[in-house]
Amino acid sequence: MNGQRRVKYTRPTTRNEDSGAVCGAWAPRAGSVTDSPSALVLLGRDDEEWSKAITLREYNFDSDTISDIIYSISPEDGLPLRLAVHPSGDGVICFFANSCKFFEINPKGACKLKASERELPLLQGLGIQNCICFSGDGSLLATGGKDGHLRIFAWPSCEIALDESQSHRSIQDIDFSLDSGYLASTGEEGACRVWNIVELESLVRLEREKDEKFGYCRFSRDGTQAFLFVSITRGKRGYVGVWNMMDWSKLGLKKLADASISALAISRDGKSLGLGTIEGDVAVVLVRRMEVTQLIGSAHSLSVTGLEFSKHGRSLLSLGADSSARVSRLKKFEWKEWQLYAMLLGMIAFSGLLFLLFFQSSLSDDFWQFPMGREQPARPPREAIWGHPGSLDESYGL
Amino acid sequence: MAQLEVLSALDKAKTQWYHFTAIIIAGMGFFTDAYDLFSIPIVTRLLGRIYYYDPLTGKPGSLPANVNAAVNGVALCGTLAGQLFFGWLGDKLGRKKVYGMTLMMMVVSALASGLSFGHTAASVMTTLCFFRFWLGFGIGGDYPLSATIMSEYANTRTRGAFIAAVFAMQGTGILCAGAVGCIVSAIYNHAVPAPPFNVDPVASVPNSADFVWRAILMFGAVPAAATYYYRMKMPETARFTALVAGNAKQAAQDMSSVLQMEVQAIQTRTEKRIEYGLFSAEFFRRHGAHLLGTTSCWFLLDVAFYSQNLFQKDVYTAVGWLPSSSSMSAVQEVFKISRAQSLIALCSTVPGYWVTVFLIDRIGRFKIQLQGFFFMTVFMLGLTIPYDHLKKHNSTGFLVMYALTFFFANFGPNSTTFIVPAELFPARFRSTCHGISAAAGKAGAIIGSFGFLYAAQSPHQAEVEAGYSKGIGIKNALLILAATNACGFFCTFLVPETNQLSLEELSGENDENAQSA
Repeated sequence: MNGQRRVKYTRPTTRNEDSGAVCGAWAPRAGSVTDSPSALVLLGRDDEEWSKAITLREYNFDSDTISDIIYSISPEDGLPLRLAVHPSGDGVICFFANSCKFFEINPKGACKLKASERELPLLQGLGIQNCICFSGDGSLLATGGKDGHLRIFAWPSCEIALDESQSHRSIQDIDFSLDSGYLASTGEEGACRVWNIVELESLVRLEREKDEKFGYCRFSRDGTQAFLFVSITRGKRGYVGVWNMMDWSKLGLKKLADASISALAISRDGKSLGLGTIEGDVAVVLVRRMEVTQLIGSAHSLSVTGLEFSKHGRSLLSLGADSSARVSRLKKFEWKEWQLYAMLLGMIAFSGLLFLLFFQSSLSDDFWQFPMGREQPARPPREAIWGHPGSLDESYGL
Repeated sequence: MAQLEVLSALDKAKTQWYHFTAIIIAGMGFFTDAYDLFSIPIVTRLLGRIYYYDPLTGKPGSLPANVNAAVNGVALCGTLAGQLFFGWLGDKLGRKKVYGMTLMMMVVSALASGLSFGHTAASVMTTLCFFRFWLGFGIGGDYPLSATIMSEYANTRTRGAFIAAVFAMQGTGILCAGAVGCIVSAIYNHAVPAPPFNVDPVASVPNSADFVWRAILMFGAVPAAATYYYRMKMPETARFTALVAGNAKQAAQDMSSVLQMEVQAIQTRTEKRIEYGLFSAEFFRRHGAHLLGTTSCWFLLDVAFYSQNLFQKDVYTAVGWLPSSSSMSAVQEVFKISRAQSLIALCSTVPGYWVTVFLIDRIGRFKIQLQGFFFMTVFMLGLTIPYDHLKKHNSTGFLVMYALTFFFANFGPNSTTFIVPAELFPARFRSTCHGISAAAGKAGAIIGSFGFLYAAQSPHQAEVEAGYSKGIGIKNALLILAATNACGFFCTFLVPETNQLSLEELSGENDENAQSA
């Protein structure tokens, strides 16, 4: 695609990487203010010694550097499989093979984790969960099981709101809409369903072509545009389709990657989509133009399994099937030289137009207040210059 | 790492011939700026007489208040916009590229402002305003760039003097405006003699009189065009090439040729520098107070500095060089005004520039600015409190006070506010920050020249000049000016002394590098 060819291919470096990562998420740093220069990266790891199963590292946005492990914890439940940080930033829920725990983040202002005293009995023994997700306001938690069992819980009471055991063959991805009114789910069989959470019922099953397979889904986060983005695999290429949430009609689709998309993320402001492919590439897409603006080639050596934008959308955390995790800084918009020249020319042309409009409008005469009206000549006839100096000229109006 | 060798070579370089050529080349923007600023009052009088003569009034034509404000102010607005735009561009594209653009813009629009689309008076005035806006835009671009270029070229020891000398080209521009005004009008008077207004109102403005203002305005393009070639030959500043574009080798090569010595290019930079943005908390922490200091001082100074328009009429009457305009022909008036204006500027403003050049590296920017604001306050008060008395009975005293106020503006904040922003900030937003500070200054200038023109009107309806509305009276307006000067005195404390320190020490770029090393 056009958009992709123009993108500069950035070589991956070895910085900001971690190995052994299974799952990960961003978490706020203790005592951080709104525009914090750093945030915590929380990783669930498959550590040989089982001592560093969940780790915290600090990432600095300005310098694009990640610190060594500043805190680690090792719960007895074993390997952490899925993590989700509550939108308030005060805790993280962690699913293990057959159990679930909630950890407080930064308890008492220290950069660490603390197992919460809350038991969460309803969340135990659910089996392996492929995906978990909090709603934007933090009042709901959805889990998608490997067995195709979709559950929605009220948070923090953990009362079950929706329990659908036959939603898909196996759930691949779920996402809440911005207002928590809908939930979208995709399954391994390649279908995508939308659930109405208020009515607690299945709302629609998105239509797909024969050769298409839906992969991952994200609702738009921009309140003015109600869209659902779904990644589509068609002929081994990665597309993203856009659905209108008003009538669930398909608005269009665009090829954004040369390989199947294996992870999808949307920034909190809804301006950027992040995609990861089965070949390990990570791309950032500008939603407004649906164009790849940044491509991080071979970010992982195997397929990308998870993606998450940082809170202010400055960096992207990605996880790979090779157990690697890395943080990539998003490129800021840079003016190109011709754009600057074009801008200057545009400004000149625009101001010229304004002056012309002013000149032709009736405002002009009111402003200049010429004593003799509009047609007063400004330039004398040619002979006046060389003519007799004192002579009067009719054109002078006298 | 400590510092790139090419930069320390520049810092330690002896004063050389290229420094002086750089002053002339960089100073041409200021020359044009001052030329423009001081030729426009001459031109507005003539415009009034040509296009605004109304036989019913029995007086020579003069521009209505709003038209006068438009013709004078549109260039200031353009300058403000240009300072912001080109300042930002200078950090994006490099100083040199933008430098050619601003000069070209000045040349083209100076020439074009002397031409008109169409033949009606309205089209003449509209064209004039349009091109003067873009002339101002180009001039505005020259502010941040010439300051930045000069500070990045100069050595540490005499950097202040060099930047001040660039700024002092304004003085040359003022004198040149007066001289060109005198010469053009004298030639014209000789070629096309005209009777005074009170003898023959119509013949006092010959039909070809518009050639005088056109010639005066267009001459502004000549010196600028003459330096275009040299600007194009100037290499990009080493600091931009090395610190922003990240090419120390190219920087060393460029500087070897201008310094005529071998400079080693040792790329000692670590692979990744910690770089904070202009809108980051880090910038705010490191330079927030500096930027506030440079913008506020420049703003307050220009409010006072540009309010000199207020006194101009009083000064002319006091000096007695200017007979009433009825007793002159239009172009005679041009001659008389140019002469009076340049003589007054020569005595009040011009000496201050050069005193600053000689003293700035000896006593430092901070002290100069502080004493400048202090004495401006003192003399402004000295002008205000006995204002009526001075005007009526002691015109010498009035003139001395006036001249001293503007002497201390120039041997004081007018020069230092220009110099310091080019020294304080890191190379990657040096010209942006200088542009922001300069734009704050121009905003002050707009308030100073027009706000106060309106504010100084008498509070009594009967005494208000035609075209104005009631104001707070000249004495109160002057008191406010004294107060702004006093504010400037205190804002000076936000700005650190930059004398004899290298730019990288000042902007903290050395420790930025050290942190990441």
